[in-house]
This record gives sequence, structure tokens and C-alpha cells, in this order.
Amino acid sequence: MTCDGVRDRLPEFALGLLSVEEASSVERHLEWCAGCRKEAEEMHEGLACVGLDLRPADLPPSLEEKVVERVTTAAGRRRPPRRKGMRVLVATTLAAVLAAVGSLGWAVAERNRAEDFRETVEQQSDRLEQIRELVESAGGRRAQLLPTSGNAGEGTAVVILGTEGQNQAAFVEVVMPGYDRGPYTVRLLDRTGRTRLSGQLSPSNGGLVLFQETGRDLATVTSVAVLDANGLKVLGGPVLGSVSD
Amino acid sequence: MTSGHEGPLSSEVEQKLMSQMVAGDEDAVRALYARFGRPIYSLGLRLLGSREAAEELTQDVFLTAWRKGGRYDPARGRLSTWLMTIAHNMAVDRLRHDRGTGRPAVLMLEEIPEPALADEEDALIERDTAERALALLSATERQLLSKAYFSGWTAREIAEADGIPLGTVKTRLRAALIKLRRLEAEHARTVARASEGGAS
Repeated sequence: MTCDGVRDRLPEFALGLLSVEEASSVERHLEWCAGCRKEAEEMHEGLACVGLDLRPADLPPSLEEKVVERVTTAAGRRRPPRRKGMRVLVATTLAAVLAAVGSLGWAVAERNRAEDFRETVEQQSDRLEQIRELVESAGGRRAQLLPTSGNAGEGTAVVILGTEGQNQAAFVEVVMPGYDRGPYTVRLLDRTGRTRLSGQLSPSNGGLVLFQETGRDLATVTSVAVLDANGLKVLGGPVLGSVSD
Repeated sequence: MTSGHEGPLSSEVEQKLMSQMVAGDEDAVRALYARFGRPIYSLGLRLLGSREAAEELTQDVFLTAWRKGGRYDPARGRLSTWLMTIAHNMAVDRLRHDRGTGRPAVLMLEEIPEPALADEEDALIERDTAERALALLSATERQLLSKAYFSGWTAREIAEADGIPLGTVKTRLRAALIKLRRLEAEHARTVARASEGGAS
């Protein structure tokens, strides 16, 4: 894209109104063109003034703690909060897995840009790699969730099977591009396609769904499906025999 | 919980706080929230129209700032600009995604903010600059920016709604943004000269 083409698009680029493709083209140009980059920076500064000019609203008292928790949890500085009704796990290894993986949580790629989405997915994959030994030692099986035709997003599911008589658990974590807030329904399916377990996936629970069951046999789970609000499958994948698959 | 600073933070302090936040330092997160939480939340509330959405946006913005903190370059602009850009872009993404379901009405920028309350002593000094800059735009320019900035209308949508050529809308938008920036820069130089002169 030429400088003329970029400058024609800079106001809308600064306002966040360009399409993904156009914004990406502009960004690539700005990486090497100092003149256009300077103009873009000036526009961003001007627009920041507009936002800062707003009448300040009263902050919700609990918001600071929510922000601190999300950032420090994502940074691995604190464990994710225990969910309501979660029973004490017998397998401490599983708790360690949850603490390690749960710190990434729901991730929404900013502005639907391809590189942000990819970076977030890579972070999620890196995180899972880090706890691979833990998952393996807990007897875990993993499913890589891939988008169905026409959809975007990726996800990972891990099914942990405790020993006989102990709790079994599965958790599902997904990354969706853009400001795609869901909610989504997660289903663990057996070989016949019957739903063994289902749960809701939305930003309110950090994008992480935990199933913890005693007595119900998660060993029969062979695939995971993520459905959108219309009941259409957007992500899915088989649960493989071992984490190393 | 506040940073204890009055006036804008130096770029060195901003960069240090960002580095600390990227490392997960809780105090740094709280300092940045004390500094920027309110304008981000206020922007979210204005664009998205609900406290719940504004809360989610604020959390998402800080999480994104943590994730991208390594890319923040103070040589390219102030931290307030960087964070407000992230906030606005995320809010517009949601706004356009939800378009047609409770989108806030177009809001004008002629509103005069209430005087700062006693407990807002740590409010960003940039707000004073912003008020001056916006007041010097024409009514047409403010209205145009309002549609684009607060309602997420593209230049084409504005052109169609107002019945004016697309090129005219783009030209006016560009001029308004450049004027905003120049007014803000002039004010910053004035403040710097007054400070160097030891003006009281």
C-alpha cells in the first residue's frame, strides 16, 4: 500500500474502523514508513484526548480487585479462584494442572486482528506444553479443538481421569477471535455422539469450563464440541488416547 | 492504592510501571489502575451503555496491556494514548459486533464535564488539555468525531447518513484529528515554558 493509500485510511485506522485486512495492510506499512507512522501516532494522541475528555464515571468498588486478579492470575502470580460448589479434589496433581492452565483463561484477540489471535493461541499452546508432564502424570487425555467450516477460533480440552474411586475432571479452554463474547456451550460426547456432560463457556467464568464428576465415567468421553448461542457447532475435536498424541 | 503522583507521569515511570505489570507486580497493576482505570471505564460506559460491559472492557484492556506490555514504546507516545487506543478499539469492536442490539445513541461532545470532586485530585492532568482541544473544534468537527468515535460509524456510514461525499468525510475527519493533536501539543509546550520560567 502506498503512502497516499495509507494516509487516506489513517483516520479510520486510528478510530479502529478499518476491516481486518485493511488494518493489517496499514500496520505493515507503518512498520517501515516513519512519516505515516508519525501521522498515525499524532492521530492516536488526538483521539486519546477525546476519550479523556469524558465526564468521569464512578468506578464500581469491586472493579479494581477484578482487574488485579485477572492480570496477576494471567501472569502466574496467583492461582485462579476456586469455583463455587467445587469439591475438594483428592488428586493434588489435578489441582496443580488447573492452576497452571487456568491462568490464561478467556482470551479475546484485540480488534479481530489475525496476528493477535495467533499470538493468543500460541500462548495457550505454550501454556499447555508447560504442564504436559503434570497432565500426563494425572492420566490426562487431550483434545485439540479446531473450527468448523466458516468459523474461527481454537481450543484445547483436557480430560483427567483419576484412579478408581477418585474424582474425575475435565476442563475446556478456548480462544475466539475478535470481540466474540459467546456464550458457548461445551459438550463432552461419547462414541455414539451422546452428550455425557455439558457446560457453559463465557467470559464470566474466564473461558474455562470445569467438569468434576464422581461416579460418572468420563472414560467414555471420546470427543468435545463447542456450540454457539444458536446451537451450531463452531469448534470440535476427538479426545486422543494420550496427551502425547 | 494511588500512585501518589500529581500531574502526568514521566515516560520513565510509565515504562517502569508497565514492565512491572508485565511481570505481574500487583502494586504496579494497582498504580496503573488508579491512574487509568477511571477514563477507561468511563469510555466503556459511554460507548457500550452498560456498567457490566464497561467493567468487562476495563478488565480486558488491562489484560491486553499486560499481554502486549512488551511492545509498549514510550518513544511512540504516552501510556495514556496507548491504553485509551486499546480501550477504544476493543469497545468499537464490541459495538459493531452488537450493532442493532441496544447501541447507545449518538452523543455530542459539547457536554461540559463536572468540576473535579475532592476525591478526584489524582485525575489525569490530560483531561484539562483535552477539554481545551475539543472546545476549539468546530461544531461540525465535533459532531463528526462523535459519530465515529462514540458510535463506531465508518466514514462510509457517516457519508451515507449525512448525504455528503465519502471523500469529504475522510478529509474532515483527518483535519479534525490533526487539529486535535496540534492543539494538544501547543498546550503542552505552553505548560512546559511556564514550568521552566518558574511561573506560579
